[in-house]
Amino acid sequence: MDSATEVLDQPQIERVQLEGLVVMKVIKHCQENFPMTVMGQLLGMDRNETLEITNCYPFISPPTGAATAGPDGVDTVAFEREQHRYQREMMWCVREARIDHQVVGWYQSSGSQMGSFLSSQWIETQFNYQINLSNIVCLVYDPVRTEEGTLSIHAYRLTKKFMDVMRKQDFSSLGFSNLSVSASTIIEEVPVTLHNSSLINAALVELDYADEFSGANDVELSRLSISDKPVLEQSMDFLISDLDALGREQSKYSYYMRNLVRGQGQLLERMRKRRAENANRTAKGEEPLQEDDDVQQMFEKEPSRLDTKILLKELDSYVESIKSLASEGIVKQYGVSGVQAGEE
Amino acid sequence: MESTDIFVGGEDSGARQVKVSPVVLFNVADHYQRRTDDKRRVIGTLLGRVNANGTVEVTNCFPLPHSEKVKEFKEVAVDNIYNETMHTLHRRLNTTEEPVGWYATGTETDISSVVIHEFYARECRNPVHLLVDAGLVSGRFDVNAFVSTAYQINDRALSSELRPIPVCMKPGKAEKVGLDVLFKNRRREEGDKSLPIMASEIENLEKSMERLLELLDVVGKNVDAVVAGEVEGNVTTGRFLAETLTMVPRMNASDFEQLFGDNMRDLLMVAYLCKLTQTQLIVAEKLLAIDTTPKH
Repeated sequence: MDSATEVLDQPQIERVQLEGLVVMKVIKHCQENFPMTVMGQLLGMDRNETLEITNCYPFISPPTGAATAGPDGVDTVAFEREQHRYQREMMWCVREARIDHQVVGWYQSSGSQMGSFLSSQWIETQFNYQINLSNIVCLVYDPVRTEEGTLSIHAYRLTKKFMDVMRKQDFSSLGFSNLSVSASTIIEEVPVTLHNSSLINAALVELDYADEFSGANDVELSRLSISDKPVLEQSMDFLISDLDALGREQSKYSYYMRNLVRGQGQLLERMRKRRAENANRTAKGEEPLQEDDDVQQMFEKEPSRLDTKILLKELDSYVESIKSLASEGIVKQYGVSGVQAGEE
Repeated sequence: MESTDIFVGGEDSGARQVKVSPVVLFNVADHYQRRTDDKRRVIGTLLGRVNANGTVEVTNCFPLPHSEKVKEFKEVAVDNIYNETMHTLHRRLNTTEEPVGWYATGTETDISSVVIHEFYARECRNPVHLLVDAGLVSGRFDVNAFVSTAYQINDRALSSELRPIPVCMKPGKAEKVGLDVLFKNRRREEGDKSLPIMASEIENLEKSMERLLELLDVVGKNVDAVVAGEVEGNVTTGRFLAETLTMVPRMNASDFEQLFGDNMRDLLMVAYLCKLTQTQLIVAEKLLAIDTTPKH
């Protein structure tokens, strides 16, 4: 039982309480930079089992020329330094304005990627947060689906089991299965609730009845437009390219497996020889040689399974969103047919 | 208090209208709630852009720590370093947003407003002043905008006043969607539990359909009433309805059947392939988990 460590740890949060302010700020920042993927810091506090996110600020995005400078060019270093300075100054401003200044996570827009965010980089970042602070979530905002009329903002974190895998840095299939981690248990979603102060609610009442939000401007009605075909098509494109990538990973793996099987015969042969040699050496009174270092080597050569797991998880989320889009499309179809039937 | 909103040194500004992004109101309300006990009101800098036609778009803002002597209305001190720092930080994020004015909470302008307005006149040309009734003194979350107008005799500026100009909200499409969720959340808190917090596409669609039917019902009743002679018909409404009805494309039944069938087949195929992919993925995952321990 890991309940002993549980007690020592801070209580694990079970839900995320999001302020309306944060929702609006995230939407503004991500939508302005669409289709670029942007990130930001979430501020708030954790209270018992609820993580309250009360404010946030955007991170600066790397200069557009940095991509040409290469991953470890001088530009990246300079950018990182600038990012640090920026964050320090921003935190000072946040404290001055008496805003909660405890870091509770970060947010990211999925850009034009149709809600996909999972990558080894994402995992790396989230792992670094989670290893230092136990209650950290990443809010993922999908600008494309929100533009289509459904707010898509979800909180994710790495599961405890996967954190163990990350700590061991063992991404072989054995490493995953030892800790019983599968693609679906790399990350988990934390349920999000919304909260607003009475004052903001007063402002909302005012806005709710404003001209800009009623009549022809009502979101409820603009949602009925039959225009999400391009979104569906794009999602399918991403799905197909990810499936290709998965296929490549699979063939890489089966190539490794083939080699492993082929190598096993040679290995056994070598081990038999080694054993015979050792028997010889002991007979001569010499130190026996290591018997299974070759076997060890064989294992270390297994390619990292992490990318495959990530791809599987990604594909799963694509499939889910396509399913949801398709069923939405079917309902709209019947709606249209209803209108046509009424015409006749 | 007649002379409170007059000050010397302003000039006529070109601003005719202020368009405020909803996120600004959220920020102001949050800032007001975080003020210290001794603060009568809070102020902050507005960011945005000025259009050539005289509309000022306020898209962002940040708080500005300040202190003022409540009794005498004479001394105002703003944290200029804070203002500079925040401004520089914001320019790194968004190069299109420039300072366009300032906000304050309260219901009326006074002498310190004038002083602060003068301060912002150095930051940007023709600042706008947004007055947000965050204390709900007027009973509602009221937003007013002001610009300064100069009174001149020949070339000598005598005085100027803060003149109100119209304000409207300007939400982006995604912001509207976000606000819609917040509106619904507010109704949830008031007891209407019919909606989940984060509705999915299909749940939202259901709501939209319900709303559409509701509206059609209202329109239908109105038309029936007019036809029956109970209510006098409104020409504008009638025209609008006729125009809307002509917008429904007319096509014969077989064409529609064809179109409907094609689309439906596509969508069902997509749904089917998705299910198939999902099954394949589960199998793939299982295959990946096989034990590779070599047998000795």
